[in-house]
Amino acid sequence: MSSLLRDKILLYRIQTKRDAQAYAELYDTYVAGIYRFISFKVSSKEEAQDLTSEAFLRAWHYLLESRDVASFSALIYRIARNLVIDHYRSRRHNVSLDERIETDEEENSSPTDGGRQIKLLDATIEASAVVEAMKLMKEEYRDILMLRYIEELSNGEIAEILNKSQVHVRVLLHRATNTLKALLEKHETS
Amino acid sequence: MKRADVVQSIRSLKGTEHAANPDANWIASSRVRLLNQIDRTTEVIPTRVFSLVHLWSALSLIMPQRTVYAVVRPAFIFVVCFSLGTAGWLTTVSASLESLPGDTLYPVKLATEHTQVAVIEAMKGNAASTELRLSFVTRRVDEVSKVVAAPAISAAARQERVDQAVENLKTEVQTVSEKLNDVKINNPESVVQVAQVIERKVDAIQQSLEVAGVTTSSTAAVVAIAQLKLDAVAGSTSSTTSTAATTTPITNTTSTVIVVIPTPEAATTTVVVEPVVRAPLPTPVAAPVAPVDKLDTFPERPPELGPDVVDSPTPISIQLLN
Repeated sequence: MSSLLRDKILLYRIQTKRDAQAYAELYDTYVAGIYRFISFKVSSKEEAQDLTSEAFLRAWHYLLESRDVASFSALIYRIARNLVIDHYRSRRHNVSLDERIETDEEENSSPTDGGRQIKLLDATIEASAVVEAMKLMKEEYRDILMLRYIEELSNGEIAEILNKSQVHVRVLLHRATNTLKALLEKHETS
Repeated sequence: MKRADVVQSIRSLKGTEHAANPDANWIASSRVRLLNQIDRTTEVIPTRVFSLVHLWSALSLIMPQRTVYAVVRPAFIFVVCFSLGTAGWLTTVSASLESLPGDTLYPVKLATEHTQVAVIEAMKGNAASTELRLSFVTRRVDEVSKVVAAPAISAAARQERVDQAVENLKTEVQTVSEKLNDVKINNPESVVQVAQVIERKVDAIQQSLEVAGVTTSSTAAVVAIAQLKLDAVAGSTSSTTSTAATTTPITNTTSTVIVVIPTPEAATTTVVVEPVVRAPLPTPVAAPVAPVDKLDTFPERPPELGPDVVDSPTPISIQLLN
């Protein structure tokens, strides 16, 4: 049975019978991917765990309230993404003035900003270099690369998560890959 | 560096500390916590055997959900509403078929007949709708009979219903007459057939009225029906070339006429219209006949023979020559 059909049957059980066991099966399927997706965006393991649990709880309540759910994977990734955004917004309100200034300076720096970029691209491990290069990219590019190549979602699922058309997703994916390629090439040459 | 290398380097992040897999212990404990929270926060709803919501959800398994909710569900609702409306209408119409003048559903019956006529006229033309109208005349006659025979609260109430029924009958006859004129103008080729049907039915209608014992109150209607028959005859005689025919004598209140009735063989024959002599000539009186060669002038017509004029052809007789 394909995973899509299996998900739909589980969704049917959840929406018609409020079957918690069916939801547990969905949890088993998606928890690792959601955790990876969140942990890539947050700084600590504890934050990733909390946000992952919160994402699944919110998804459960959403399923009970709304029947317009075409794909559970799209729903849970969208919730996770929004949770991370909310998480950073709430943290921004709590950081001290010094931290905020430091953060603003980081955000204002362009991908081609010499000092920081050179510092990042000098990382000794290739994976770290890729991660650091990705952190220099727009969040949208980062998400799309993460969802497509690490979580291996389809363009259609990514389009639903990001609320964009599939054509737009393809274009963004192409640009994100090119941007990362340019950054990594710059790292190699330096 | 190629694009494939970039993609491969991203994929290699999976499982590393940057995109780490969660601990198995955390997954298990988080699962238990999640299910506990669900148990605490979710109300148990009574299980229903069937719900339309279940149907939409089940359909979403085999077709895109947007299609189910944007196409299938509206279509289903439309079909249900249409079916309910049609079933209600059919029930009302079937219930109204037995209604009589004065009943609540009688206007529904009349409205249904109007609809039928409109549909038949649009599909088959004037001739067919005229025949249908004529069948409604028969209905009106039946209604008159039933109203006369039906028990009533008072004589006045009965009279009122009878008057209404007769009025309906007159209106219907008038409508058929008008329809017949339309047929004459628009479909002269089918007027003979329509006239034949009208003539046959008018006889039956007249008999029905006599059986019903309707006399005084329906005099106007009877006269209208007789007029209708005359109209039909006029319609049939106006067509001088017709199909193979037999003749049937009809007696009305004023004259004797012969109506041309087509036979199924439809072989073309000639119909000769001859004037009817109102006063038949008596046997001529024997008079001395002078030799032709000795006759200077025509002899005078004897006065007992009457005027030497052939009367006008109203009414006429039509005889078929094979």
